[in-house]
Amino acid sequence: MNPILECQGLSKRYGSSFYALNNLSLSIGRGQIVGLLGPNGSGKTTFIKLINDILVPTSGKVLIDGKEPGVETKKIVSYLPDRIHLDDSMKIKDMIAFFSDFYSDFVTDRAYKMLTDLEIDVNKRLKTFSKGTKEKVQLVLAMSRDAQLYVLDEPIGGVDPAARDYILQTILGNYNENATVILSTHLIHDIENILDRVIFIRQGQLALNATVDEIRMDHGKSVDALFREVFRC
Amino acid sequence: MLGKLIKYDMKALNRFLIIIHGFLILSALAGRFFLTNRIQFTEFNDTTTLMLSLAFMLYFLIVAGVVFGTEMIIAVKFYKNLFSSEGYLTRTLPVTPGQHLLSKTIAATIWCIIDIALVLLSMWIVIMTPSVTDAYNTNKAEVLKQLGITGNTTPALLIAAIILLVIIGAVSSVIMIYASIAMGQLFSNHRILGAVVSYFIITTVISIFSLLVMTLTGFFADYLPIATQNGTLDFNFAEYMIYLCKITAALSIVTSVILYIFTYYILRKKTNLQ
Repeated sequence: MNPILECQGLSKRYGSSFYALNNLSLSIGRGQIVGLLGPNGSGKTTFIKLINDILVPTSGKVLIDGKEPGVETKKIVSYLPDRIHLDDSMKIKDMIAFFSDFYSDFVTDRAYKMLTDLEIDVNKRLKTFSKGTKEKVQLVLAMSRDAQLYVLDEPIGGVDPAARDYILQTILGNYNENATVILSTHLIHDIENILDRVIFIRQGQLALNATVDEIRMDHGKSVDALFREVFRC
Repeated sequence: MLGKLIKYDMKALNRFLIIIHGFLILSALAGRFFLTNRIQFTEFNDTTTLMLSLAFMLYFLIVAGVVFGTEMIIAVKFYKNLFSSEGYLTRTLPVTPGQHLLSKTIAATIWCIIDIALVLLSMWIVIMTPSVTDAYNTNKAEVLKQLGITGNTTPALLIAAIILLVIIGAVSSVIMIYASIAMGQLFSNHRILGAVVSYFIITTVISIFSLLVMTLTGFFADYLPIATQNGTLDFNFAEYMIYLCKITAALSIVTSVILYIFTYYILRKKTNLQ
């Protein structure tokens, strides 16, 4: 079986000389939760956008299930961007209908259940909600798909700690064993317990790709502590 | 998939466009009942002329506003849906860029045709009062003759030609808007300003090109001098219009095909969302 995600010499240049991502090569297998970690501006979001066909690579390539980003990969990748990407004049229930119209792996009941748990009224328009609630809605929509790869850009950055716990439980509870979750964050402490593997990115390059167990064994440290050491200013 | 896309693209346009066109028809009805219905051709004086001119000016401002508003909404929705943060959702749907472009072109063209039809309807409401229809009916033969609608050129043929031209015009104006916005994306910053600049560049290039084609095909030589040489308006209006329409239609089709391919290429190859 192909690795779910593979990239070879992947680079993205902005303007004439700034490389947000520089010759990144890595491979991620199925059935794990991967933390994509790095300081601000290290290239995490650029990497995620390249996976989702939002950006075109300057050189190198990224393969999802062996294919370059396109219609086939979009069917199996569930993407949560780092911003509100929904038309906020739409009602939540219309968005659910929209997702289920376009994604054949979308599970409508699951979306309604999670929204009920989070006490979000599906008959309201998105613009009537706070920023944190909008983020919850987006995460619910992303996690209601039975995708093979979930790519979550800062899924817990803007929400309160209680909802954070619920969201992490949701992520753990909803993905099946063969699916892979990649999530970027700088709130390492909060997510450390659910991660199987971490990828450190520094200035657009791979700084570390190891399982959490390896880090604990080899370095005798938590991921959080290692991160602080590697990226000390 | 295309059907679903069109459904949502129409929905996105409906909200605002229904409101402004509702306003258009309401103001036409108001114009008819408060103004044009009360005019008799027998009693003209300076006050009524002034009032009438002002009212018509206001009415044409409303029509211009609605037509411009429709194009703006089509432009804004295209931009927002594909190139703003909404693009993060649109562009990650399992749909090809070609399907997005086709769906948005169809949805916006449908609205452009509705827009033109409703503008014509509103004009009909305002202008065709009983006294005007009476006047037209009594002088029908003369009016048609003056317009050159005689012999082979029947009113039905003319209407069919107008409908065809409306459709071609609607498609080409939509494609022009989309091409401008797509071209604006090639700028690394100020992409909205880039779209506006692109629009002017595209329209200027097309005007120059049409002027060239018309000169080369002898349009000006065949039609315009007749009026000036004899001192009287000795040319056939309908024939002139039909000739003009043929050229405009042919030019619109050619430029639309080119611009559509150009837009498709940008959507497919070039775009990086900011």
